[in-house]
Amino acid sequence: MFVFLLIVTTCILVVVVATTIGLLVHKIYAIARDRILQRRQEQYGTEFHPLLLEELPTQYFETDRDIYLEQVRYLFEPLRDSFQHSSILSRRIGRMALRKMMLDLARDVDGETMYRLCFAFEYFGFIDLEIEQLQSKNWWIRANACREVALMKVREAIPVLTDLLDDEYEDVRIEAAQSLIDIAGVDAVYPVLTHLSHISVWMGIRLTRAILPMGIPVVGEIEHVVKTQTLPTMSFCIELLGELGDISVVPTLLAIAPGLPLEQQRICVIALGKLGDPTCLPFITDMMQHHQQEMRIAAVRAMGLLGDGNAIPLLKAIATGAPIVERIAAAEALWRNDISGRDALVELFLSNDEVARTVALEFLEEQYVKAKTTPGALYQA
Amino acid sequence: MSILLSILDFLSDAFTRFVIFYFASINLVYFLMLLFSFLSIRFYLRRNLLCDYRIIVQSEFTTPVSVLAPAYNESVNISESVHSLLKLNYSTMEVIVINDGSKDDTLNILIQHFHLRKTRRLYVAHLPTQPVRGIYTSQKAEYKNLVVVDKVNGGKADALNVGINVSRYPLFCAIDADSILEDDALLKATKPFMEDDTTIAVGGIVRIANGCTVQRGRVTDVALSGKFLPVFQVVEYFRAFLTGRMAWSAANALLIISGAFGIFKKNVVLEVGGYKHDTVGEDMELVIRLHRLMRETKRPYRIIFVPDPVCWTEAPETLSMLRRQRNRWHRGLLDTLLIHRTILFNPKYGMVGLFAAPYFLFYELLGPVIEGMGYIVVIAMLLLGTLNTDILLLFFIVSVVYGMMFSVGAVILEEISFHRYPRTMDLVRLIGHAFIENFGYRQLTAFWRIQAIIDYARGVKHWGPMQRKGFASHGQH
Repeated sequence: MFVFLLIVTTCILVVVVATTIGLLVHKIYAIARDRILQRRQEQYGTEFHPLLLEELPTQYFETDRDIYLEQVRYLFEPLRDSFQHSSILSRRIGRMALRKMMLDLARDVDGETMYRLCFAFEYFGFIDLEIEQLQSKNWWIRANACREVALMKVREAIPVLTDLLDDEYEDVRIEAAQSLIDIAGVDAVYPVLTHLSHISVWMGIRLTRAILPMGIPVVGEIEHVVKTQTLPTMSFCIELLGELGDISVVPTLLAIAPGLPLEQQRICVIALGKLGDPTCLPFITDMMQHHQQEMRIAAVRAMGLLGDGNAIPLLKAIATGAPIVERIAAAEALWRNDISGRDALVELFLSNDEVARTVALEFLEEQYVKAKTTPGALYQA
Repeated sequence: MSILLSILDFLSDAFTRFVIFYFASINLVYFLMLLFSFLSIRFYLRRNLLCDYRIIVQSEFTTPVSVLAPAYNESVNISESVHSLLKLNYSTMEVIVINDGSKDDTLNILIQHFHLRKTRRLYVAHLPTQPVRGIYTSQKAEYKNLVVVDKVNGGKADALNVGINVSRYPLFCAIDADSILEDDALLKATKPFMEDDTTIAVGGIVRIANGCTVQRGRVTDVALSGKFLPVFQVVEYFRAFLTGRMAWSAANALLIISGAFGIFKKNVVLEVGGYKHDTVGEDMELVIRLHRLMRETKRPYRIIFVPDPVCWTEAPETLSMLRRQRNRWHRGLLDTLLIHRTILFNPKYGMVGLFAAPYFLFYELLGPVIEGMGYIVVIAMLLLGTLNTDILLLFFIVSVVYGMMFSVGAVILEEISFHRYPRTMDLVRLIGHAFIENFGYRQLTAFWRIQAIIDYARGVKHWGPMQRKGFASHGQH
């Protein structure tokens, strides 16, 4: 038994020691490689920047892109030739450094410089490499390639990226979705949102970052998704419509809201509140009587966001005579409801209802902290 | 006489066989855990290395967090810790400091330092707690996210329950008031909640700040302490967090989320009734209750350990303080396992019942007892003249090699993944301590843990006082 234990121990020890040595060697190699890459990147950066900024003899960028690209090609030719005359290892490290330098640069440039950079990326043959990496066996390489093609606006990657929306790894799906929107803009929004089977909060944050800056032009696409009732992405789309703030979608939301499942209906009510269109008032008022407390709270919040003066008596009634969670929500809604809402809150604070006073104070307090004043001075005023 | 000797001989032989089996199994388990941890950390790094956490800060969709910091006699560190919490990089958060009836001037320091004023803020007792004496908020706009609750002393669990009652947001982060979170710790720790709606709790890594330079509530230079005890604890923490928790997390059977840094979904914690008051292992007890709730109600869930959101804490530097800490931890472990004994070997609880809980019972809880018995048997065999010194020596060498292998493995795991100790000399010292901890330190902690079991049997339930040196005095580089 003991001999067996000793043999097992020795074997494990050998494996662990070998792994340790291997890892350390790998680390040393990686450090050395990174150092060389860094040096080469700096070198290429110095050579590359003037080429991107150089004034060309005749400015064809706006008029004739073919002639313009011919001139740009002429600029980059010497650098490409220098690779042809170097050793295989040096060429490999050089290309790696050049590609990394270009990708880093793509984060900071736009306009004509970006156009030249994208051309150079293709000219040095990196687009093929990126598309190859999009089809890699390793998910992290695919995910990283998605980011890189988005940075360089590689339109050739669109078919592969579309396939990657069904990737088994969520990280790849997120990157592919965001890359498609970054590359194809508004046109990609509808296909991406109808294709995805699930949008987590994290994916939502990533997509929002790409979609919200598009503003009003994207509203039609998202409304289209909502109309087709693609349920997995419905909540996200409704939230987006609320954030985009275009009241033209209110009729669509009011039309679909009654038929939605509870959670999506709740999101819809909040979005309607955010949109701030007074035509939503009757619907939100109805929702304040809903049998589910969760929905009632959402409706109260929406009422606060709506900022309609007609809602104040309703909110005051809830703040004085509902369960405590709804009272707090009503007080918050009054707080958000503009000056008249805050006046109503002060009235609640001055009332005889101890709970209503405490609930009102919860939000009024923020006001005197911000105003650097005291409660007494605030209420005297 | 000869019958007695043959019985003793039989017993010692049986015990030797048991020890060899135990030794082989524990080392196999540790080896598997090291392997799983390595794979998990590699997967984690691939997922998160290029992640841009700034988008969480900038997004409207980010889930807001309430940070709960219970404080009991923390006057030495409190202002620095709260400053560090208020400067955390996160979009929507509030910091709730719960003064648990401190006998020192913790509350006064907070009131003066942060210009606090007593408010009549609403307090809804979702969880029953000791009475709340007052809720304070700051008059200064820069501290508008700070809430201080003063309450009657009721222990850490009670203070956390008060914090949960006061909190406004759907996630809460429980930390120790004497610890320092890194700027991006909340961002990294909340990401799993946003990625997967079934995530109900996330634990972050706790690292030892002794020896580091701390300026304005931030760890600005990471280094090892010049003293032995904190460095031994650094190695222990690597083993516990990078190896142990990472592996259990991969199997969704993580039983401990450190009380120093854990994030929880508030509604689920409310559903299980919050922290339990009458145990010193309230952090582990809560996590096991969460596992039980989710498995008993057959709901999908995940309890995760994330290895890079860092919480820096002050480790005990004296033997007496360390003894108290270890004693408390071990009593907490024993108490929790006794409370939840029904999950042991119960297939209804899956990995938790079949593997994680038995692991904690046999290797973490009873390990020191078996080690202690081993020393007694060796002495007895020596006295009886039946000791085979060659075998004993060989066993000792093998056990030291194994012990060192796992410690060095954890140090290497840290070095190849997060590489937080930039000085080569610190790495050498860590490996050196991983070797010498086997000669005295390990035996001492085993002895303290046996003492903890005896204390528990005698009914000792208190935490025991802890004295803080304060971060300001650390790291004189």
